[in-house]
Parts: sequence; C-alpha cells; structure tokens
Amino acid sequence: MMTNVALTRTDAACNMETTAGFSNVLKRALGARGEDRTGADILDIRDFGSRKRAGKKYPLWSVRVNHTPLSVLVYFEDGRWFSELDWLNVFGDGQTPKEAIDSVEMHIAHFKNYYASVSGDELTEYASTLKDRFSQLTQAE
Amino acid sequence: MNAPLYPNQPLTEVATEVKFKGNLAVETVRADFQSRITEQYPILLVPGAQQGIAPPLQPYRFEREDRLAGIQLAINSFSYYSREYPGHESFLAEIENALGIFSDMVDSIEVTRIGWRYINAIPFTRENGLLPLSRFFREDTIFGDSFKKDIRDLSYRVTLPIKEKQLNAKLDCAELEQESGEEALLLDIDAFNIKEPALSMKPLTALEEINDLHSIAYETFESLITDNYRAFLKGDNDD
Repeated sequence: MMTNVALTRTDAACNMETTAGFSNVLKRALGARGEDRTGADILDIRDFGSRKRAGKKYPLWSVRVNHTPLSVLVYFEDGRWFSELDWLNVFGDGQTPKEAIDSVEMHIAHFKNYYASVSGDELTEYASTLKDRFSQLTQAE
Repeated sequence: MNAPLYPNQPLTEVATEVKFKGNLAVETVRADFQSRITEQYPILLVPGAQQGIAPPLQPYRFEREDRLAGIQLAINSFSYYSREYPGHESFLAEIENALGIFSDMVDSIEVTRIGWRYINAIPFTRENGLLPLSRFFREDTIFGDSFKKDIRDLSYRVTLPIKEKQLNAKLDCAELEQESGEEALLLDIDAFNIKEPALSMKPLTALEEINDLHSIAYETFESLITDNYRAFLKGDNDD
C-alpha cells in the first residue's frame, strides 16, 4: 500500500510523492504496505483527499421520499464546504461537511413551509414542480 | 455474475491480484508487456527504494493517462485496479485483456493467492456525536449486531472462511484529511483464496476464480447494507 513511499513517474521530473497531511486514522484504516491483502501496493490515499473537490454524495437521512434518503452533493471550494440538492433547488455551505448539510437541511425546512403556504396558481411551472416535490418529503425521526 | 452499477456507489478502489512464486521470467518480459499495453496504459511508474523490501518484489505500475486504472507487475504478482469502477463486466474485460497478454509471455506461474478487493469510502455526518451505523448497515453474520450500539469510533476487522475461500472484512471510521472535518466509513472487503501448495497455471486461467471472488465480495457488500441505503445508492431520488 502506498502509505510509506510512492511510485515516481518516469516521464517527468517530479519529487517523491508523500502522504504527509493525511490522517493517521486513514493510514491505519487502509493498512500497512506488505500486509497480505489484495492489491496492497496499489491503494493511494492521496486520492481520498483530491476527490473532495469533485464532491461526494451524502445521504440526508432526516428527509426522505418513499423511505429513501435524499442525496446531497457536498464539495470543497475556496476553503469552504458547499452542499447542493438539485432536485429541490436548494443549497448550503459551512466550515465542515456537517455544517454544509445542516445548512441545506435548514433551507429544505424553510422552503417546505413556504411552498405549503402558497397556492399553485401563484407559481410558475418550475415552482409548481418544486411545490409538488416538497410535498412528497417526509421527516424521519 | 451481473452486479448492478450504482450511480451513488461509494467505491473508491477495486483491485484484483494474482500472487505467485517469484518468477524471473517476469523481468525478461516486462518490456514486451509494456509495449503491448502502452497505448492504453502509457504512464510508467517505478518504485523508490524502500528499506526492508527487496527491489524485485516492488511492482512496476502501468497507468492510464487519466490515472484512474492500471496494472502492476512484479516478479511475484500481477494486479489490476480501478479508482472509478466501470462495472463488473467492463472491469473483468480489462483484466481478461491484461492477463491474456501476460499469459502470452510466460509459460505458467505457481499461483499462491488470488484476491478481489472492494474499498468503499462512505461519507457520513455524525448524529449527536455518534456514528449513524444503523442507517447504513444491518445486523449480519459478519459484524453481528454491533451497529445497534452507540459508537463514537470504530475499527473492526474480521477474517473468516466463506464458500471455501476466505474473506477479510474491515470497517473503520476515518477522518479523510487532518482538520478537514470530512469523515468516512471505510468498508474494505477482500475476498481471497490461498493456494497451498501453490498451483501451477497459465495466468489467464485465474480469471474464473477472480469471478468467483468478485461474487463473494459483491454478495458480502449487499448483505451488509440496509434497504434504505441501497435505495440511496441506486439514486432513487436523484431525478
């Protein structure tokens, strides 16, 4: 496993890549080089960090449709975490992934109340679609 | 076996590996092997010196230009890996192609271990400071009913026999980067078979067993997760 020393590209002059900055917990979790595990030399924990910019889907357990948790995209940009739930057109942000998700959850609660209080006649077609989607939400325990 | 490819899959790495008794023929075919695969895997990475590990046992790596998949070859191992799992059929086709090329170049190898490994990084946020394990995992024969308990940190590992092969299953709670506040549950499923004594075979003939080990790893994952989490993975609410 790539926790101690990394491979060097042969087509470019580059420094040895290290895993400095990644948590010891993660290193421990993935195991040590030389362990009897499939592909023990392959895994590269640097990938876990670099993927945060592309974003990850988090289940939002507190709000569901037909028992299925909503899916929130969480990503890191310019030193801050952002969350998006396109299906409901709501967004959030925070200093941590949890704060970003809590923020989007707060917006969901706000817009759920808002759409419940307005008549469909007053809404554009897209807003009517959102009203319908918000009405499908159930709050989990 | 056909396994569905979930749109919201948590897989971060899939690897399969054939280990064999040291075979110096690998040293002599490595250049030919590279030339046969270089169009698809143009990046060559070589290992640095590591104390305590003999250089010939350190694999050379041939990676795709996008760095998302590759092959590793050492005198005692052949492995294929992907960081963006394309689904079982595509993955298996790539292994078959690479193993086939390797098979063309060596007579036979003395296989000591074959394995298939799924590593999942499941993003989550804590609930009242606790791990929301029961949201993701159900009571099962591997981890038992541990997930019903209030747990703040977790590092769980078991090795058990399964379908005449073996399984390493590991579940850890990990902070992905220092001070980022981003945590994940790392579910590491490694299905493998030790050959004792070593079994002489052409590399490509390992494919059938690789397929069997995939089935074990896949079924293990499916047996562990809750229906609600599976619905999330399927993207049921993603439009």
